[in-house]
Amino acid sequence: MSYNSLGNYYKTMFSLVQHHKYSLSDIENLMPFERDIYVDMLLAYLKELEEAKSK
Amino acid sequence: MSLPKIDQPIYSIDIPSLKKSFQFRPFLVKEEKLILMAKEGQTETEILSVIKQIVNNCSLDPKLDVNKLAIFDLEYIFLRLRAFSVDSSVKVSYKDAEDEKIYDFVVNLDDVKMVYPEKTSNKIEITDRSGMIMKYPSASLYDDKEFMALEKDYMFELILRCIDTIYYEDEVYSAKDYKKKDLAEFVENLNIKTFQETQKFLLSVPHMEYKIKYKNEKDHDREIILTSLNDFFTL
Repeated sequence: MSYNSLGNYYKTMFSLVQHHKYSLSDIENLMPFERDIYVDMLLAYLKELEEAKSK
Repeated sequence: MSLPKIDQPIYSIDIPSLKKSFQFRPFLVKEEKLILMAKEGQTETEILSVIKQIVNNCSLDPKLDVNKLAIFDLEYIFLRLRAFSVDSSVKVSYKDAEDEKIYDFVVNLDDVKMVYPEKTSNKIEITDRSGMIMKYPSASLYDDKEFMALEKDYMFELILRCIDTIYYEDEVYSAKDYKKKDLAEFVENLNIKTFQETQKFLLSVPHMEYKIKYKNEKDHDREIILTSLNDFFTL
């Protein structure tokens, strides 16, 4: 699986819901590869923001 | 009646023992969670039972009875579903028995093959006029708590669960109509040759296979053969 533990699964879900306003039911109804794509895109976006801030 | 709304891709998977293709949807994040929950339980029975549940959920063909599928069919379907739903590559790590170092590999699930060992007949003759028709171990074994908890007599108990029918001249007796006690008595009275043939059938069921070849630190050629779901996902 793309997550190796239930703990990691819940931490990721909590971050997506709490900090980024995703809906839990929407995420749970995604296919796992779609969820991974969104998480990767979100991380890239956050990195861009961080870089822009530090300039 | 309105047509169903298709909001997920549909894939066809060839079921090895049936030589027939059935349609499945990918599994979802909430179903992936079920596997992680079962992993926390750390009993193989729970994990296998969840795998059966997921395959059942994802099957789009009401004619497919997951309980009647052979275990190797179920494992193969789950492997294909995993490739569609998550990724077709899986990272695995194995400790080399010779140099005791841990090596990481990436397995491409699309390259996993089904291996059909030398053809053994499912018809086991006891005498010229009598015999048994065997079936492959079915996925319903995953829910059989008594069987999953066995610590001895594993093969004997497996044989009891894999007899499909018994025939004597023109009469055919379906094993499902008889109590386990009656079947046990029947199997206990089999001669050694028949018992060995039955074992041979059960030891030669088709299985998945993926070979990893590598050189260890001692520069020796090594090979690992992955054959079950446990090997692919370290469940």
